[in-house]
Amino acid sequence: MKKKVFIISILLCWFFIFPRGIFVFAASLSVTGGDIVLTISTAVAGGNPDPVTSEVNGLSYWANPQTYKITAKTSLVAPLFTLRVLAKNVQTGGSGSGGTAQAQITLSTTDQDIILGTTRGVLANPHTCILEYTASATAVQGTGSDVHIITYTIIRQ
Amino acid sequence: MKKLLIILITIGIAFQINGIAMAANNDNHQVSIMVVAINELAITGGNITLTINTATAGSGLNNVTDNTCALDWTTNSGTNKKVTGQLDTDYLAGITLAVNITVAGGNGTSQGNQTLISASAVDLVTGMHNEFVSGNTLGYTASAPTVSPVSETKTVTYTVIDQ
Repeated sequence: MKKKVFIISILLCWFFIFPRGIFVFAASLSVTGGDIVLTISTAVAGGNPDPVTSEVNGLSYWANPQTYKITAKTSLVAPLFTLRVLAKNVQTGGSGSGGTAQAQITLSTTDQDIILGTTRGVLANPHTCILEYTASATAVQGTGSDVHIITYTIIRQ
Repeated sequence: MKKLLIILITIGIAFQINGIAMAANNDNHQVSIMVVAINELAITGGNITLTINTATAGSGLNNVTDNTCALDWTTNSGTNKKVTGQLDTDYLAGITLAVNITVAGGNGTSQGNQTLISASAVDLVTGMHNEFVSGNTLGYTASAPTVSPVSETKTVTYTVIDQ
């Protein structure tokens, strides 16, 4: 009986100490702002079409306790036009660091770093950043549409 | 005792795995790019005045030319476009204004010297597609070989349209 109580006590302690699991490396990320459409419809005569930017989306994330990074990639293998993204206005949540935004990237099907060195943060008060998308096209590329599914991943650095 | 231990460990692992699964490490959303038809044209150089004030003895008044203005254009169309020119109203009888666009690049072809009229737009450049070109010189020629002194101001409108 004593043995049984002992084992149960140990297990209960375990859950209190590690409420997020045996593997204490935990991180979470979500995209805010939903789906967007960038429409290129203007140009200055004598120049290429004007690029279009959007800052309606963002990321909300936390990482605990190791150092993590955030990567981005697109599902579209052969886009007609160019889509770039830049993480900006990185805000640190309750603790740790929201990380350091990297230079603007041109999205491809390969994961590329957009934020490095993020640590901690909590679900109730996560780190955040704005996602600045820039779509551009040339006159030679003509008209048409691209549909990207952009995936952001938070992984150990 | 052993059975109880196994049950507890199994439940424990299940909870732990669940804990990991709840922490999603990625998310996605859809970003669409739409590029619609763009056809832009602009005149550089502003308004001009062509003054006919010389003559060769024994002949009519000399023509006057001006090459100070230019057209810039952009089209992302995959099918051919053209530039047309048209006067708002005609000049007095005996006065003509012609224009010759020197194409600076791209796919377009100049249609040479064309006399501008109000009744209809005349083709000046054809075959433009998927291009942006600036500095296409507008070569104006005004002629009035036998007209008495007069001053007339007209507006020339250039348009990029389907060919």
